[in-house]
Amino acid sequence: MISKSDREQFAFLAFHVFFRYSTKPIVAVTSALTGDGRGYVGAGLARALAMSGRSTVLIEVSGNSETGMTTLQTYSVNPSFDSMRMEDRAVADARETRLALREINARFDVLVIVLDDLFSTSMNLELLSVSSCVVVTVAMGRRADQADLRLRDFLTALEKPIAAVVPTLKSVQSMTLPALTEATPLGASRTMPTRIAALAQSRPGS
Amino acid sequence: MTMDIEIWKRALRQHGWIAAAAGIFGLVFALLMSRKGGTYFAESQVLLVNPTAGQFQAINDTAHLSVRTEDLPALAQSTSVVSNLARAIHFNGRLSALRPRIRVRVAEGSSMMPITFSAANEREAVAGANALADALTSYDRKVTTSRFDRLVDDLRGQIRRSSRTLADLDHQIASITAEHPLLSGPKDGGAPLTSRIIDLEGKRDDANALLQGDQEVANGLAALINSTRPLANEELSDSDQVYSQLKAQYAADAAHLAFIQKQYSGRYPGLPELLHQQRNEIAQLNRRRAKAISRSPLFSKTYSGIYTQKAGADAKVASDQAVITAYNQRLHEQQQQLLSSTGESTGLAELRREHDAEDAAYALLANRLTSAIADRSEAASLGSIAVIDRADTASRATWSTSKLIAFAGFLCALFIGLGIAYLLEAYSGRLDGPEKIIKLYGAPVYATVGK
Repeated sequence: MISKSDREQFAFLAFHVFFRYSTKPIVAVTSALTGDGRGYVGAGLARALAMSGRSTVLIEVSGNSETGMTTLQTYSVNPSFDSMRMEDRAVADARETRLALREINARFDVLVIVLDDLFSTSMNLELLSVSSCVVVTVAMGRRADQADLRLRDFLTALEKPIAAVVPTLKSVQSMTLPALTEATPLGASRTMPTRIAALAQSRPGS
Repeated sequence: MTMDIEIWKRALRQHGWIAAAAGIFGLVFALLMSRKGGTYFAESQVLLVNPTAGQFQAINDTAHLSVRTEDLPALAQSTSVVSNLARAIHFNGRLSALRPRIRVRVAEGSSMMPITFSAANEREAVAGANALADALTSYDRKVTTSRFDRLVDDLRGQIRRSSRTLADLDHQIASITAEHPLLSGPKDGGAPLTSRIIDLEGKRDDANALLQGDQEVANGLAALINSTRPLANEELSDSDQVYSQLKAQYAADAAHLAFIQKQYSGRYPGLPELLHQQRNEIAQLNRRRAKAISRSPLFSKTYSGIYTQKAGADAKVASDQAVITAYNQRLHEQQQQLLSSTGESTGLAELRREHDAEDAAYALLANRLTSAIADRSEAASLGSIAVIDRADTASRATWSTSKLIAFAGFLCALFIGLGIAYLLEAYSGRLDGPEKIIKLYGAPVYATVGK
């Protein structure tokens, strides 16, 4: 459940992201470490963008180290109705990834991509390269890590602007952590719709 | 600024206990120190005077002071002054423990300088305040008189050396005069002996003069004796009774003859008889007179008296001659000794001349030392600090003062604790604030979620 104050925070964040970058932005949500709440932020941001009247899609990236395939689990975020899980797309290389994103982007105003652990799969890098901007989540209270510096330097090298850094508090981290760390598509498909539905329920008037 | 406020908020949230603990510690510490630092305060008043204008005239221009006004509080905390204070109040601890109990206030444009000393009891506070004022005054006078001190020390050293030289000369003179007692004298080494000789010569001359007088008296008496001889003969003959009878008979017969011759003419028949008788009586009288004067003239009173006087005069002459002889003998001896002790006499004279010169130098040095000490005293009396009001009572520290000290300690410690908390928060590696995250990633933070 997203609190009222969090909804206001996401609305503020969405305002900055949407109006600052391209008209059909691809927003990548990532973090330096696991458990920094990027899933929660991605879902909240997608909902805020959807509530502003843009058709928004939320894409969760899950890599499988055994098969080498990367699954793009897509959700159509509709603030008026429950979010709908769309088809999962398995991509094997950069070309397929670009094609899949181009196709999705043609149908939606905004793409919010919740990346897997940054260096776990090469698809993350490909997705970053095609994104308009990056939102980085940081778990509030943890110590600064070398991974933070690597992420910052990597984004600088890619010339990808960090649109915003979103600190997340512990309650949110514990809530989103299982949903985004489950590597299996099944687990992810089980948790994400639940959360999106919860987001839909929490919208004003619902 | 906003970030600073956030850091402050988090610092208080995370490390507020440090500031609180520091504040409490500071409160307790300040209370203890305020108790330990003394509860009695005594104050002496010192007037800053203008040494060029005379005693106790307040200053208008601090340039005349030997110590600058603004330096006086620091001077009161100096080791020199504080050690004097410690000595005066018999304080055996470290000087650093004494310094916080001293307070000297100098007001702009004021000639008065209150000196405050705090102690655990009233007597020590009063003694400390007065001792501190005295120490300051003493130090100021020391500064004022320091330029005379070296001169005085130098003169004292010269006087000591001169005194040693005089003692050495005295010792040498004493040694020589002990070996040659006749040379002893106040001044010149040869003078005593020579003076003795001269004295003896004078006495001899006196004796000679006396001898001459006595001799003249004796000669006069001798002449008197000679001239007195006829008188002595008369006295001798007059003292002879037979002669006297004969002389009386002759006088009677002569009177009778004169009467006969007056009454009668030359033709009186008995006249030749009478004349013959007279011639016989005259012859008899002359014979008797010759016999009478043939005796010793000493039978004559006049002669014997004069003779006695002449004998006394002769005795005096002989006595004078004996005295003169004795003087001559002593003169001879002294002259011989003078000739034999010429070397020692010269050395002693040299030593005495040196002694006189050193004595004069000593007197000169003593005069200079006296002048220098007088100048120093004058300079000291014109010092730039004068104690005009000595402390006689001490006031007990009020509870409000202790509270003020405690509150100040609490505030200081609290601020220190807050500073520590701020630093801990600002420089900890934790990403517990947006500003740290902004600084780490160089990107804005528009939202913080999870509240």
